Amino acid sequence: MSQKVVPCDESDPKRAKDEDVRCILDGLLLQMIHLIEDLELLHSQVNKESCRAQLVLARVRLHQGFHRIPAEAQLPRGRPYKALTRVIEKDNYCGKVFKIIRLPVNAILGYLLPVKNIFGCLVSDNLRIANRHCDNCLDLVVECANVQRKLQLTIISIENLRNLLNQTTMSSDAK
Amino acid sequence: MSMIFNTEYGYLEALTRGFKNGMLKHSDYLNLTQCESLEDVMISIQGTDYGLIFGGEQSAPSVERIERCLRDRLLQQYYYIRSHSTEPLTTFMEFIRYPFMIDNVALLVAGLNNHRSMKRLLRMCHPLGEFDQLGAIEVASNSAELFDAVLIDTPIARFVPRDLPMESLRYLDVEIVRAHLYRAYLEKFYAYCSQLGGNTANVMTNLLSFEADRRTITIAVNAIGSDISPKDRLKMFPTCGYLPKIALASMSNLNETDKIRDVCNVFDGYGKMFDNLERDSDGMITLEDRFLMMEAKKNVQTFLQQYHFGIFYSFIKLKQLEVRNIVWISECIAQRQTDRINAFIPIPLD
Repeated sequence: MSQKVVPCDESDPKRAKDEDVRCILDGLLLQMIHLIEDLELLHSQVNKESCRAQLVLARVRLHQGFHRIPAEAQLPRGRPYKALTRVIEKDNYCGKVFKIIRLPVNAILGYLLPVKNIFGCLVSDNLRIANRHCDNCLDLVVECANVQRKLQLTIISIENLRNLLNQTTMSSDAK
Repeated sequence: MSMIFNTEYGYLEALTRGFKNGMLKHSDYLNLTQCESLEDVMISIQGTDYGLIFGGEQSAPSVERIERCLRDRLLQQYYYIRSHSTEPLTTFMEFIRYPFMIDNVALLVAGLNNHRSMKRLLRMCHPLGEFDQLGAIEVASNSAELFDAVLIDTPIARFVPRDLPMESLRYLDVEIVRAHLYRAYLEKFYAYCSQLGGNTANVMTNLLSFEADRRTITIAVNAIGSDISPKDRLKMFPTCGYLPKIALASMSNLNETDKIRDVCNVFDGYGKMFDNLERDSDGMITLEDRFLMMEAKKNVQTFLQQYHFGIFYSFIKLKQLEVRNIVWISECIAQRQTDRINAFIPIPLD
């Protein structure tokens, strides 16, 4: 079946507008693919960091024995303390984004370092390293959430533009 | 000495050497590292001297189950030696159990401070560290009462320092309490072994001095960045090691790993522990690993001499390390991260 090829007529303002919309759509589709790629990379980095943290914790058990660190006994209960790391939503030019804020340790105000609060003041190197990996995981998860949001906005924009194009095509066909 | 030793302890020494000969060799570790699942690990373990330790349990294979069964075998071997021993070996064997008792007490203190129920905490205790009064401690409703019970009736009562503030125990860090108890234990064990004399004194004072130095260096490094005062750090350092008092005093004031390394460099063997650590940024080989490797080597060398109690101590230490190695291999397989499976601590038995 041969398709009727309509040459682009730049003098036709409606066609020019359609052309612009299609160019924007192409750009958005490319952006969507890049964002999907970024998201997958971030997912694999989160997976890598959390696996590394788990292995380092297994190393702690090798050094200190399986029985010495039952977290169930050491997790604080009944002594409230405030989180050092908070996730907040901030406005920027492309909408709302998540941001991590890290508060300084201040025992008087109840801002305690979790690793010392749970495992005591003599924290081994391995526990500190596992803690760092978990902190990196947090940063990556927030970045993931931001990329996911951008991706959703891009997909919504693509759908809106497609709807707009479809409406334009339908109205020109009706004429 | 050798004739007298053999009449009392010859059988137990031979038995312990037999146990030690049954420990895993390099080829056994190779088999374990090539396993693809925990079931394979359990089958490989049953092909070693451990035998059919997993019994008829129908539960799914897990790292916890493997650790529990290996630990039960160690318990059997320990209690067999202990129940057939006579004094002074009996007291010596009890000294081997005290660190586990200290760990159990530290666990109970931490748990009580965090409002956990005693019943649950008692289930988490290590069986080798159980003592008669442990169950009776259930009536203690806070950690100060717990220590009153410890002070009066328990075997580790003598390790509680007089200057430990009982009234503020719930606010004291449990690691600091553990460090104080362990220091007292090491020094008393050292004094006991010195008093025994002969080969036992030679071998055990060497091992315990190394352990004391290792505790000192580890506490000094772990205390970096904490708010423990130099005076309090010094109180946690055991004094029965090779490191002289001046080294302990200077390490209690240091807040950088490089400066601690400089102090250790003066004493042959300890400075090398810090070499090349910065190359491994993944945290797989740390100071603790270096100390464990050296400890394994020293414990294996203990078996080169006869007619001393050191082999009982070394066997328990080596067996514990073997259990931890097998648990490490199992964890790598369970987590499907087998690139680091060979990072267990080698025991040079071959």
